[in-house]
Amino acid sequence: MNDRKTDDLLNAIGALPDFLIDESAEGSEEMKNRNITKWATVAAVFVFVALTCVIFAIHGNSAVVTPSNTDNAASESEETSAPESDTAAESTSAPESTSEPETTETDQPEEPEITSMIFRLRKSVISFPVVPKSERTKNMLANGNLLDAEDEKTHSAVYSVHTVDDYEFLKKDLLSPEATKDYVLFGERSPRFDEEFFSENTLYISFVEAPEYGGAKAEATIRDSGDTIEISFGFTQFGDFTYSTEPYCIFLTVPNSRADNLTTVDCICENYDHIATVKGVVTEISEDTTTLRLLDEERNLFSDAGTVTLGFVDSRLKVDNAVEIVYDDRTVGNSNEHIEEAISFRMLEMGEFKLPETVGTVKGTGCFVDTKEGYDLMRNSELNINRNSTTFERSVFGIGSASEFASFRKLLADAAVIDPQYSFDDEYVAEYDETFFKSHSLLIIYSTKSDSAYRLIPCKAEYGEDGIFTVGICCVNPSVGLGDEAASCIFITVEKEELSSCSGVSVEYVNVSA
Amino acid sequence: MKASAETETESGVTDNLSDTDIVKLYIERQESAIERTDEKYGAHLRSVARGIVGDERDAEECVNDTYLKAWEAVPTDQPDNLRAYLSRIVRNLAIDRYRRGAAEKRPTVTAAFDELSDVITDKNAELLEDALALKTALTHYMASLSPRERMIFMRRYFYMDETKHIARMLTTTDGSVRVTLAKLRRKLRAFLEKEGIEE
Repeated sequence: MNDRKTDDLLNAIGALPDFLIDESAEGSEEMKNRNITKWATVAAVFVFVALTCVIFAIHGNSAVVTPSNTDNAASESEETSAPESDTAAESTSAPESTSEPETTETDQPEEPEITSMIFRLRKSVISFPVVPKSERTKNMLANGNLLDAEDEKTHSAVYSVHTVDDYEFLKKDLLSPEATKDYVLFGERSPRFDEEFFSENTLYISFVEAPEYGGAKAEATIRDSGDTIEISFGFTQFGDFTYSTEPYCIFLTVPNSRADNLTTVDCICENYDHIATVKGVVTEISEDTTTLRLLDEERNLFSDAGTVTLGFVDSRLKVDNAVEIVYDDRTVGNSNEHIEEAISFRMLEMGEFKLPETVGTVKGTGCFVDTKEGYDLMRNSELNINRNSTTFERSVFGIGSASEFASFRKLLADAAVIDPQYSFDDEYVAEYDETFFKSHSLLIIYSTKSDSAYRLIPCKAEYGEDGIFTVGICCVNPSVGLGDEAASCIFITVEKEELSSCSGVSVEYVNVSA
Repeated sequence: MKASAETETESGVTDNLSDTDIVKLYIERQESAIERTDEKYGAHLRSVARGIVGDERDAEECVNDTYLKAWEAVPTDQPDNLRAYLSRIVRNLAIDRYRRGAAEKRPTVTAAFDELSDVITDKNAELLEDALALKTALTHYMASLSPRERMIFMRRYFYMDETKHIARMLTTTDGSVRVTLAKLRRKLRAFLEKEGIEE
């Protein structure tokens, strides 16, 4: 019966007008062209910026270094030089540098400041009022299905959850198999209502359909200005540019005292193009009791990245706690295994990262440990950190054996580096992969950085001729943690063979903030 | 008549004979019509068939049957858009073959059928039986989609493409395509239900 109906539907699709069939047959070309056009635009912008810089540079140079132009001679007429046409030069536009210096005098350009190659395109700002509590609950229940995609508003609305009823409703509705096709809340973990938490906090759930994304969800920031909380989340472009709309589900918990005077939650979708970076699967950022989670159960948005990073930012430093898991889709294949794969460190691979222009680098050398002894040393000394200390050794460690791995795992769970509030779920327990570690070493970099951000991305990993292995770490949006110091832990796997000739490791911070 | 404005070369060897000219060959019952069609659209048709039946030989048979159907139909039908016309035939033949179990079962195609069956509800069941009304509703539905959505829908449910393939084509992720498809199905379901009620 249903088969028959399906056939009817299939036949009806088959009978759709010619132009639709034709359009979709050709569509790939068209879409490609669209991408090409878009890239061309981006390239044009680059060229424009580059040209501008070149012009500025020439400008500056000519003003300072070569005052030999006819202009100067003519206007000042103190010397005997250059009787040739100064005015003629204007009108006949002799190609030599005629008019440049006059502007440089006044507009002395500073050094061409290509501080970053990051484009921040604000795509849209979605503002929505927070529904008062009583009404809110009523609406949630009355609406029935929060995920009715027909209603555009469901994608740009904030729902708040404050009671067990709200929560149960949310859980039932949003976590139904049907719903989780599109929206993923807590990964595969089943959320439980935490009475204690909800007696003090309200959870806001926001659905946002981002107007555009570049293949990856990048980061989120929260700005709290009293009556408004602004959540910005950027999309990081790694591969080809793609226009799309994607629904995102954002969770924001705020203390009740704050929720009471909260009038608006803004979601700002931005596209951070050209941050050569990796993808984020789980992003959790906490600041006191404010937590933002961006989770995607289907791990849809991760395809082109080239490395895996786990970053733990120490909360004792007042900055956010961040847990990031980033992985490479290419190496994994099955998206459902991504997180597990990522945590098992099997596919931690360095990718091809474009290095953004550096702005003030902080360099530090670390020790490289690839032996049991070295590891023990690391474990016993380096990581025995006093949490109150604001200085953290910047170190690089290597793991190459099962026992090292086991120790590390234990240590990771025990260590002060990780905020005690964060607990590893069973699903998130790393497994040692013997095959992998036969040929690879895992480098663990602990580092601290003042003026840091919650988001640290390895953006460069290379071997220098001096045998120094350098890891570049981008601090995206450092304003968040400005003035604070954060500790982070970054994992990179490297082939043992490559490391055999490595004499040292250095960590370099690259600030790509706009 | 849509014609792609290419003309026959003097030698008679056609890389790109126009649709109009090819249709004319059919009307004149010249067997070269099939040859010319194959030259121009053979690869496309094979790829459509292969996408559904999987096997190369089955695909080839579908294409041959398509030519035969076209040969039989064209004096009566005079398609404006030959590629779409042939695509439709080959797709229907391939689905038919697949449905009859004459082709190897392919999870991706079966999944596409299953996905479509999700769209069917009690509320729109009646509409689904009325071919004309269904076609009209579908056309309206397609008109409500963005070009990208249309593309994804057609690639999946007309050409039965794998989502991965569609993702590659659109330089996006597999997940993104799947999410879009889920959204499109929900939208279609609601659309058909609404149309069904209005009926």
